[in-house]
Amino acid sequence: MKIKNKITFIFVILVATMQLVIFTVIYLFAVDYTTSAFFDKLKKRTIIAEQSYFEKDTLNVEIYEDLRRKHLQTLPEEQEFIFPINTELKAISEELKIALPETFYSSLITNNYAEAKVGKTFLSGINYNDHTANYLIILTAQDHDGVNELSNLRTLLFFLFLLNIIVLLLLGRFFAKRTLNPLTQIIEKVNTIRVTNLHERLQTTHNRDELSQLASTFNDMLDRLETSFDIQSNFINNASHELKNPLTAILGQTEIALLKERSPEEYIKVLEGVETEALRLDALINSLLKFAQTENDEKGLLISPMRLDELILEVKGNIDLINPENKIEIDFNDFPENPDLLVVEGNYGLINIALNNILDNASKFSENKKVIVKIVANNSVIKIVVTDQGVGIPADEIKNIYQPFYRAANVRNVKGYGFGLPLTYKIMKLHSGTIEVFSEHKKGTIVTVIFPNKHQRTSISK
Amino acid sequence: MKTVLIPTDFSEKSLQLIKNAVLHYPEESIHLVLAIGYKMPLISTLSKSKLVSNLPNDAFKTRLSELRLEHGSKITDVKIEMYTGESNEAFKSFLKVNHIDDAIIPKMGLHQFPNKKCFGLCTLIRAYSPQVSSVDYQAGDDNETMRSPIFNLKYQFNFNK
Repeated sequence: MKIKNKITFIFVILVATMQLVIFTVIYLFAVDYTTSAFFDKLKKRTIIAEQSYFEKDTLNVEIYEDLRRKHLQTLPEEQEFIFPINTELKAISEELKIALPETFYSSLITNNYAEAKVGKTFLSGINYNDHTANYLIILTAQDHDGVNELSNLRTLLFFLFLLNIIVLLLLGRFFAKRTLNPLTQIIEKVNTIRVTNLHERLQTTHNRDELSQLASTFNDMLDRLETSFDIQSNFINNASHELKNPLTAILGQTEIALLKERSPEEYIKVLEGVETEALRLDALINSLLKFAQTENDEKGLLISPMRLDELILEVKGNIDLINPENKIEIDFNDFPENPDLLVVEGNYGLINIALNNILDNASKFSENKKVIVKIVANNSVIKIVVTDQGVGIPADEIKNIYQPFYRAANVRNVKGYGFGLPLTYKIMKLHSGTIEVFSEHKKGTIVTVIFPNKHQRTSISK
Repeated sequence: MKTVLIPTDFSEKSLQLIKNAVLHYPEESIHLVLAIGYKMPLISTLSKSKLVSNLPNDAFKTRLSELRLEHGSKITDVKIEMYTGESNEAFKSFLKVNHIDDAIIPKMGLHQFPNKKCFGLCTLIRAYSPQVSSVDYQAGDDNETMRSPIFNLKYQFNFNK
């Protein structure tokens, strides 16, 4: 059954049930009211009958008779019966031709008044007592008007109920269709999305309802898919391009060298050029291998505890050797009192590479301006915050920084392959950590590397 | 040392502007004044200082103290101020009283205020602050303004399409 029909069905059942209960209560109240109103009428007529039969004053008797005749309408099937007090129930029943209930008779004797309904007949009785005689006065009648009124009410309620069911069905179906319309649109739209139009997104509303959340979730999934596709296609493009550049240079130099006979100095110069390009190719392939290794070797990593402050000092020492002009400053203020808080568990070599990439980038892209490194630790995380005054990353390019080979437009003149951040990102992910990059174009970049505290973490992410 | 005014809407995201301030003044230490506008009712049971401590949620307070720690060498102090004035002159004296030298504001303004009495100061800052830097800022997905229940109901049943 379709959700649309299910919602309509449940809606109709619920409302119809409620309506049935309300209509039943209304009908029962009407029955009760009609019955008591007729008994009231019958009781009054019984009292008047009593007065007209047993009143001592003949003038009053005439008045009562006149009143009954002129002003009181006779009730349908109305009959009056007068029995001596000692008449038995059976005899009364035979006379009335009705099986009189025992309770009616006993109530009449003890309470001097009784009323009952037997089948369609209403009975009202009075026990008349005076000094000379005791009599039982019983009136019987049928409430044809009441029965008709109740029958009309029943018919009205029944048709109203049927009409409501039809209206509820139509309304329920209309609203269910309206509510689920976005779902139908989502299904239709998702069915049209292929690899060729992966950039298309589902329409979301400002509402925070489940359908809007579903559309947003689909959009997020499409974002991730599109990024993965882009990364894959860009990776092959960029890798081919980067590998081709040194090869083209090598081929070009050798081709020109072989055009004619050259002096040994010229050959040496050509060979030096070939060596430079070959070294570049070697570095590039090594980076590629490292990158692939982090993907494949997750299970075989050697894990050991290490102090991050000591590791940073070692990384800075290495950078000092390669680039003595760097101005990396390590801020030891707010250092945790407990040195255990600075200990992380992970692969020493990989974390070394990750920190080296970050500090090297900070120095490289800021033309050796001041770089501040700060370590902040608490019971849950250890953060390394690296703030530089470099060229920054343009806002529209920041989403691409974790793509291998991707290089922002403003740093194409700086030496590099676009491997540092993607590799660092992978290493951090491998150690259940994260990396956050905040940057403002032409102002600088703040890179925050966050490791979970070893007391919080149970195992390395797989 | 510079005193830098940063508008806030007490969302965690708005604290990004502190990082912008850190990058904008690489050679100086900074004193930050985080400011929010508030329409003070005629009769209020809460003082300004009480409001300043009650309005931000715990996530905002935690992130603020984390950022202070992470950039401790640059940020000397952070003060949260509530602007309750209603005239341009009042805002000018607010800047003067707080000794504001510079301000950093988001290009698209702030939208995630904790209630309807709060309002953004970006327009006033742009008009009256001695120095202003506008920066890129994305408030994220939950920057929608508050809508009436009737609007949401209409939207639910697509009557507004």
